[in-house]
Amino acid sequence: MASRYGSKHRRYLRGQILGRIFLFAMSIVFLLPILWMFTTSIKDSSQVMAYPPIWLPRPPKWENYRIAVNAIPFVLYLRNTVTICFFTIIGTLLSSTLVAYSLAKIPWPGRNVLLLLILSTMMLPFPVTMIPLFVTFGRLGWVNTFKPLIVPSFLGNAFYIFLLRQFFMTIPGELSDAARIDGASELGIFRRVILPLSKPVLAVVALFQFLGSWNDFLGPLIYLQSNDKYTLAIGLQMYRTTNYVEWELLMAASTLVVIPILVLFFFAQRTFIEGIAITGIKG
Amino acid sequence: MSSRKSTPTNLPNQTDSQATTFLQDTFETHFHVWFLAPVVVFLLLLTFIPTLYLFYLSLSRWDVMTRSPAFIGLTNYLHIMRDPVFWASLQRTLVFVFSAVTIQLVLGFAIALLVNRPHIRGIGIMRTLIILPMSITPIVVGLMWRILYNPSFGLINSTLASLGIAGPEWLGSRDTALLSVILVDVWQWTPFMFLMMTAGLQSLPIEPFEAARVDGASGLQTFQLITLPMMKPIILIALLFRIIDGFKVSTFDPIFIMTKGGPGSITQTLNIYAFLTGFEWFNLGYASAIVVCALLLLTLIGRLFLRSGVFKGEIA
Repeated sequence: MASRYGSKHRRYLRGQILGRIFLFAMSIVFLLPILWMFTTSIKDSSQVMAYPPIWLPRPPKWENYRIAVNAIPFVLYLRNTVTICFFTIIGTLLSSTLVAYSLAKIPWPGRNVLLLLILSTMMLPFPVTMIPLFVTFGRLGWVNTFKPLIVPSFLGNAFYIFLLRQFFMTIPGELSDAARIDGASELGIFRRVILPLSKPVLAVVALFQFLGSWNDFLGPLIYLQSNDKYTLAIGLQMYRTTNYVEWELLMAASTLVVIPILVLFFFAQRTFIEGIAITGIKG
Repeated sequence: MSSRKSTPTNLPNQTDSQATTFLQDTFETHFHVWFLAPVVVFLLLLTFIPTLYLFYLSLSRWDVMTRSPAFIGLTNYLHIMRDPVFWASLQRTLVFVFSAVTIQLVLGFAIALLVNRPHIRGIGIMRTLIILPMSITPIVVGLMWRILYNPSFGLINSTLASLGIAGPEWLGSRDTALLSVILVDVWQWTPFMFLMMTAGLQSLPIEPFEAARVDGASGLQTFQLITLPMMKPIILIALLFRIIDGFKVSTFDPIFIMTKGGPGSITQTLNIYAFLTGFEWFNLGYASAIVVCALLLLTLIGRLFLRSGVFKGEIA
């Protein structure tokens, strides 16, 4: 009996140790490229190419960041990106919540069909609507403005509608019924009962939309044509001169682009994971 | 019903006030319809009409030579049938998506199983570090891997060199370029699979596992007969998300930055081919036909998933 307990305990310990080693190795694999981007950003150009590779340049060349920001209109691109992010978040929160509420909480014939339709648009690869929309927005004179990037978000997004619907389904109907008996209007119920209860999932949607707009490349690449309209993701390409890439500046700028995401990520990690879990488990 | 809410208005004019009340009542009775307005516009203007237009464009000739689309029937599709570049891009896309997603699932699941045991100290911080890559801007991912892969001073080949191995040219060589871009996708999206699998594992009920332990089932048996079947729905969902995303973003942004489809056209996926055709060579008709083919393919894959019952019972 005692020996059996011992072997079991040993196995448990072995599992713990192996698990930890594997995890540690994995976190290094997943982290290393990001760290390398950072250390490259504080090297001078000869150190970038050095062999053996230099892990931590001494002294760090923090000046790269100043040069990188001045080499392209970084602040302008930052402002463009933030503008787009801001309005798409507002748009998504306004439209997707209304739609999701109708789909989740109010029984009416045909709503499952509509839900399936919406879900099926998630399947559409982006390029499907890319060409026709480019042509259409072109006719509207919207090319080289932020409108093609912002306006669609005010019409809802299939993924967020789905996410919000999944969450609204979990809010007990008794709450809205009670408010209804107290004479609240439907819009009032939505605003004063449902939305306050949904703060966590609204945070998830806002976070995902922020990441989506911040990281978007193809949209700005197609629609924004003049230099002063670029977003950061497009602007990063400008560090490449004709036959030579200034890697340390490119990496400094890349680090700057990634920092807001990392900061958000550390503070809102729970929100982020929750969002994924909602789509996954309840999906 | 109409009396549910009829706020008296301060307007002196009686008919005006009636009209307002009428509007409010209509809103109250049909509010769900109003709530749906944005999505109906979205579906019509941003999805269905563009898709129909895409089909029309795919039947047209529209390039630098023609000012507006001219109907040419199935010519573009007949051309596609004989276009070796299209078939090669299609094959590459499938190889990319399915190998990347498979590796992500296996690796993500393995990490999730290892993490899903209590009392490992520091597990929270490791989890945070592991899921970092999926939040990084795809363009930046492409850029940082271009440095790592650089054959002359990249970290990967420098490390291999210190072990006495001459590293390949990675993105620069026809033999390794596709593998290289797949590995980048694996790096970025294994964390997603890990998160999904962790969420799934934590939602499993504990009883079947205890029963299995009492019955003396081995770890492998428990995994095969309990964990895997119970995880099937979430595995399918995760696969579906990754496959869809693979056809959308993963086969574009990082590849566009790292190789732009090269060397030659070794990493040219359908997305890149359609983009180059439409937006660099301005052959919008042919590009549309390429996209329609990709759409048909993805619809087929989606049907397979739907038939496997991913959304069963969840919609109703």
